[in-house]
Amino acid sequence: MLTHLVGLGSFARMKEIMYDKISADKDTMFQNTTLEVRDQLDRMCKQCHQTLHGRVQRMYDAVARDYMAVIGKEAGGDRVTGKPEKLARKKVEDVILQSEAVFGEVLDWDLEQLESAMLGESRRVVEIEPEADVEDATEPLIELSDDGVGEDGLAESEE
Amino acid sequence: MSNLAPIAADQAIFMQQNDHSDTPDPAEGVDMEYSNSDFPVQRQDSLPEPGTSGFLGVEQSGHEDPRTPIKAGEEHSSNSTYVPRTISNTFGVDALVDSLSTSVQKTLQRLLQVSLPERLEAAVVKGISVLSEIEEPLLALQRDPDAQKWLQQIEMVRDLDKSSRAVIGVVGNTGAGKSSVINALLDEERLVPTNCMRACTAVVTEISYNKIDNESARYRAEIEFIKPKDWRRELAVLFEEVFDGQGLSKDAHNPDSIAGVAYAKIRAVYPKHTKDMLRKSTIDELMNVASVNGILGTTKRIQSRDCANFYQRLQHYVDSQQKPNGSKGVKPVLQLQLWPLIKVVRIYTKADALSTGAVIVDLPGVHDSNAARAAVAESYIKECTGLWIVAPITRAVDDKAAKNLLGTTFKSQLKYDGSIGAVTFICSKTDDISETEAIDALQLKDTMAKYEAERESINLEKLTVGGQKERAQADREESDVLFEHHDDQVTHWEEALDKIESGESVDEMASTVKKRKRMTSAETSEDQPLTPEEVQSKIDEHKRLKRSARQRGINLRDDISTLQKRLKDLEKRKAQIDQEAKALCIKGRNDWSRERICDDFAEGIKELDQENAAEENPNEFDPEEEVRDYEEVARSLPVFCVSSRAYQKLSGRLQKDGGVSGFTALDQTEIPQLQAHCRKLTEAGRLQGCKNFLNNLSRLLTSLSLWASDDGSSPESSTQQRKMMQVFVTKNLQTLKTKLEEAVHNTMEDVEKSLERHLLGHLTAAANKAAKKAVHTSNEWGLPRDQGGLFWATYKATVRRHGVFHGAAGAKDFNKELSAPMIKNLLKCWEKTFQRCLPEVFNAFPTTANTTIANFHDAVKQRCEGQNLWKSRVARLNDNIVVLQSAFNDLAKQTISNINEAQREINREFTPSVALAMGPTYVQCSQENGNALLRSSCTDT
Repeated sequence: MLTHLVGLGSFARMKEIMYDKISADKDTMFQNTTLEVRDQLDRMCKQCHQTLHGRVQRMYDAVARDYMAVIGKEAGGDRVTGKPEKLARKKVEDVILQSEAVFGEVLDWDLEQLESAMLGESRRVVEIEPEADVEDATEPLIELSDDGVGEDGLAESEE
Repeated sequence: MSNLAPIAADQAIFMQQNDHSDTPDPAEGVDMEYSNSDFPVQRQDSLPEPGTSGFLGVEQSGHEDPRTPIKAGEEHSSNSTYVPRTISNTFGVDALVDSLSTSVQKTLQRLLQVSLPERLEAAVVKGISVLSEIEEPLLALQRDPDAQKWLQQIEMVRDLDKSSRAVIGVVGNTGAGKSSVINALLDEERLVPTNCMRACTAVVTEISYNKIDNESARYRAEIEFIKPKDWRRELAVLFEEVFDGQGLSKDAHNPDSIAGVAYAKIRAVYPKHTKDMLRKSTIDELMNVASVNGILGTTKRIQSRDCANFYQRLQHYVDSQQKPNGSKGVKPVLQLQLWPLIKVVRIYTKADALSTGAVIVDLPGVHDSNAARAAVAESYIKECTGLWIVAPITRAVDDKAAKNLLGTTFKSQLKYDGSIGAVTFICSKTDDISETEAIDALQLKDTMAKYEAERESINLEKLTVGGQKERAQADREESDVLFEHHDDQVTHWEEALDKIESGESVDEMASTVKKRKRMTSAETSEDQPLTPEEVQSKIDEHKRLKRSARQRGINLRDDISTLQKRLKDLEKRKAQIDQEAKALCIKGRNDWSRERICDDFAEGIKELDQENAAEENPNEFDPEEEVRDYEEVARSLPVFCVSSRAYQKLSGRLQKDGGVSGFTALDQTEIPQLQAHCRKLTEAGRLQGCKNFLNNLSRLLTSLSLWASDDGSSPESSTQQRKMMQVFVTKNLQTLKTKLEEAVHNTMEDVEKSLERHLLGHLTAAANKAAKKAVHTSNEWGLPRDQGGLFWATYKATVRRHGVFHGAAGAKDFNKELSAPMIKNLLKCWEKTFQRCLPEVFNAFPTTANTTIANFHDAVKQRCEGQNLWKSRVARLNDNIVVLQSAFNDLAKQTISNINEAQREINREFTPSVALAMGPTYVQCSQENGNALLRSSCTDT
């Protein structure tokens, strides 16, 4: 009896537990996994449906607005009368008409011209907070000096 | 699924818009495609380029994902080919797309066909300025509801101008030269922090372009530390490893043991805690240690104008090497090391290669036992547009790195993700070459023969010229001696002449003063005194000989100089030939390696495909049947054979290092090509982003021009006519709406059917296979060591860490092993479903939508023409149809991309789900220990 028990170490007990558990749970464990995956795929389809539907709806709304605008506003009894409104519309129309030349120019540019056109632009430059605000306000921050390691008090300090 | 969260927001907008009448207000509901902001980064090359079949978007053939070239032949042989539904025209007129009229829309349309990102980016810049100009008059109309709505729409389009980022993950084993390659790519001598992190710590370093134009912040870094709860969890596991109930484990001082690794990690963070202090400490006490508590969950920021200073400061955090502090023999001061607490390091630098939006991620090769860090690495892999594998060229081919380096699990993941085409292979250290070995191995003897012949002839010539030079030098020395001699003689006889002239007598023998002094009186008495004429004659003679010696010396010096130059030229030529020969060997090995690596890679994929096919259906498995075009897989793998060292040297860096031979031009190092490849990887994303912006801009301009041109004063039509037309348009719009909704519904119904047929139907069988193998798999872990089982300590360390452990013997993941049969079994159908079947369904959608919208437009147009009213206004919408159709095509592509983003999350669910189910088992196992058992044994006895 003693010999038998001495031979049984914690390792053997671990393996026994592992064997018992896996034997008992294996069928449900993997079936549950497939159920989880199935569930997630189902949710993916639903979300995809919603997104697609939403975007098509928005495109439709724009189409509806444009085609109703073809007829003009009078049908809805909403006449444009004010001078500033008329003036603004005229200005917008002019800008749109002139923009054709603006975009046409880009079509003809060579690589050098394209690069120089981009040079002065800050299009791809994100606004970054000034240096003083570099720290994340939500998190404590340990200051670091520009002069080298150790001065932040971390290198040799502890509690 | 967090990345799909914005869909809910989309839906909210839609719900609101659904409440609108069929005749929405002007300026409302301009279609905005938020493809850049709705979802995380667009996988750059996941979407096919538009087909060439015209604007109607019938481009089925162009929609296969280029990254997973699956054979077309299979499409015909299998029953998976999707047949799109037929499209009926309910608008009563045939769809005709008008030729484009001259307008801004036409110009924008032409721009949308452009494939040069720089041109499109310039167009976007112009677009932004056009929007600002339009904004101006609208801003003046503060009380006008139309103007306010347009301003909102302008803002929404402007928001679409966002720079995209393309994540490039770089992986490679220790010693592969990964850091050197990245440094060279960034044009920096040393920027990337190197971590000699042992203890299974895998910190991810992300490097992106520094967009701040501030010289003092030229280099910036953010060091993000793990959250307190993550460290607490890890600390608990580490403590269990280090203390075995009776005190410090005896293995704790063995750095290679599990306990030793854990102890080293704890000591790194708590250097002043002795083992007794640690044993007596609770986790709570250790968590409260100020230096640790103050840093967990924080982000540190470093910035510098100087790279060396920046590197040094960054390295301080990342490096795990305890630096000797003080002079020899003095015990180093124990320093708190932060590397076990780092979650991710983000570096920002002004590297040209990153300027277009590429983000280099230095991925660790090891799996991390800290779940938070492992998750960071995993999330980058999911996001990767490119995956670069670095291996030294000296071993890449022999080790079959392209085939084996990734491992089956990683390759399976690539297939699940549809990312096989994202792989780039980088052979590093091409300067490390032995010419002799290369000539033998690559059979370059014939090619090298001319170099050998030239080398021999140079050596021969060098010998000859060298001999000539030596002789000339000897002659010159001789002539110098002669010159000196005659010079002395001239001086001597001139002195003699002076003496004669002053009345002294000089004889023949008095040629030198010394000689004269040694002569006896008997000898001198025999000499006849010389006359002044005789002395003068001697002077003249020596002067002549002196001149002659000098002239000879001059001639010889010229000869020597010529020979010297010739020798130098020969040396130079020899060095040049050596360079050329070495360059040829390097190129030869590069070309050979490139080819082999491409083949190895394709072969690795093929083996995996076959293994999966055999696993899935052993009875029908035919090894001859190829499910993929493997030649295409091989052909499309980009391989770069680079020498970072040569690149750095040629760029004037690494001054302290010796020269690198075999490289004379930067291109030979292939680093410039790799830099270009890096920029190229961002192109698809940039194009997509710009096109999305320009498409939306074009539609906004059309809508705005219709609004702006309508001042309500048109005498063109009567009220009655307008009302009738309104009824007509409303009715047709209703039909359009129904048709579009139907198209969406049908598409999604087909998607679900396809999913069920090609994937969901296989899930149960795959689960059963995994269940069948589970007991056997778990028994294998417990086999005796000599039969492949685990050492008890490894077994225990693994169960303690919920089945995942990376020890000295390598990585062990019980959960992955248990789920592997299921993953393997589903791989083929998963890949087929998401890379082919579902894209086919989504790609059919724009065809329906485009035809429907064109039919609608023609119905309205024909009505206007029939009534001879609003003709010019409706003509403004001709071009818009093309833009709308292009938007529908983009929508399909975007949906496929979104589906792939989502599936990448879901395909990673198998193992975590198994891990969750196994959780209680691991807890129970880890509670077992020797002492408890001994006590229970004694009781039993």
